[in-house]
Amino acid sequence: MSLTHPPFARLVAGALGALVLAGCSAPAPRAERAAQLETQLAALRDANAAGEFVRAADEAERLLAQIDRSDALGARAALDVALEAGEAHARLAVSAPFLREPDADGVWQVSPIAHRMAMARYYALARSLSRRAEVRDDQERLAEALRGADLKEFAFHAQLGLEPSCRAFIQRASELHDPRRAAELFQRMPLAGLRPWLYAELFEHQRSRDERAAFRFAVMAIDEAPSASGFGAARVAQLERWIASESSLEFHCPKCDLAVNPGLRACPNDRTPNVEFVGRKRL
Amino acid sequence: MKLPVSLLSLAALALAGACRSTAGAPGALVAAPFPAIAAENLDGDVAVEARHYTDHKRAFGVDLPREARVLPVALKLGLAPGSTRSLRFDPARAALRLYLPDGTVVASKPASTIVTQFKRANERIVASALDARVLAPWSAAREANVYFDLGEAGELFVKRGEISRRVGEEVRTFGLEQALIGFELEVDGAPRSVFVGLAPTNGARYP
Repeated sequence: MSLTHPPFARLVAGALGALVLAGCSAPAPRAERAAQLETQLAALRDANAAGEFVRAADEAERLLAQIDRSDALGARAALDVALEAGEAHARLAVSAPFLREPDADGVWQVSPIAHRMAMARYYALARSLSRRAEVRDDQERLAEALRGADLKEFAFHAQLGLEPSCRAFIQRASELHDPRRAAELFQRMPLAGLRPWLYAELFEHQRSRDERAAFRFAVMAIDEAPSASGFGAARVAQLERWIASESSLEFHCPKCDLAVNPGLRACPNDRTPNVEFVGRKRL
Repeated sequence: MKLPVSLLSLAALALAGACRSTAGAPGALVAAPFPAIAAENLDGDVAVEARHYTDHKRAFGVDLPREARVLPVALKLGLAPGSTRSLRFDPARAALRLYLPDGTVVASKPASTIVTQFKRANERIVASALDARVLAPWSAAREANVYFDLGEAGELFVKRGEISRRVGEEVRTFGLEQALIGFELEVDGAPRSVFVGLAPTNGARYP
């Protein structure tokens, strides 16, 4: 561009040149942004892995306010952050809750439920982002993480005694109708302390449909009860009562035919686990 | 002369788009709603519904979140069909609480302590409040109000079925259908926790 060009042409050329230069130095092209998001996510995962759940929850909230979710890359990053935030609150609910609620005397006590509300909010966000998040080669891991989130929310509703939403969830999840498949799924997931609630809810679903399946769910709930705070003795007693007297079936050891004792975990004769006992019509 | 200007505009737009990558554009947080209508408790003894009438001004004469800093919720509590147990509700021992999706918990406020500038509204608040009672069968149950304390102006706001909470510079807004109500009652003399979702509803009437 020489001085022989008209002034306007020189102005336009200069402006375009400045824009190109500015474009070259624009912050965070895709690769750089992806690396930055990955670093932030790794720090968040480290906090959760180290048991620093409060820091993880705070950091996740800060990141979610920053991340631009309008494209697939940002949506995927926000999805991963939301899953970590949900996990942090799920762990805080059982390990070190700090959110509070009033008791009957008006004293504010720590509230696992408040943390589970926060957990559910983040998991809902993760689900909503999953529809437009970037597809990577870890789709299977992501699907598993979202499945775990669903199950934790299901357990939350079960703990609250919200029967209608639990029924709706079970009806949608046909793999949960089978005790063996459900147990495999629950063992694969990080659901420590929640399994008794899940099994008990599946027992409720099956008791009027398939008493043999209901028996297995009841036994698994009883077996896992010591791992769950809040899954009280009254609930265990209710399950044991159904096994011992309320079911239309009697359950016997397949090896020695001894009738089940729901207070024990296995046959006292041959150590066959109660869950393997077989049902037959009560005489 | 038009062409370079258009090019300039396009280039500027493209650059603006490229520079957006780290700008904040957070989406809405959406939580799954809890059952609010005729939800039965786990053992089937309690039937409960909870509604916030967005047009409650028709019944009270005032907008209660604005005039009295409380959120009115109409609770319908009854003995579930088939239950033979004795259920007792006492607002003084109920520990009524409203859980918001971000983990904030809002406590209830006794009706007798709620004051507006309007005498009739004050009378209506007390007259329609849920009082201590042995629960009637569900078929005979009637709605009565409980009130959640929104605290000092500036932190919690309620408008058209949504609740907002200010956290520093940020304002979090949730639909009330994403909130959860919890309270205690006695079943055959033993304490029991009950939870129910909240349904924002139009159609307020005098309870």
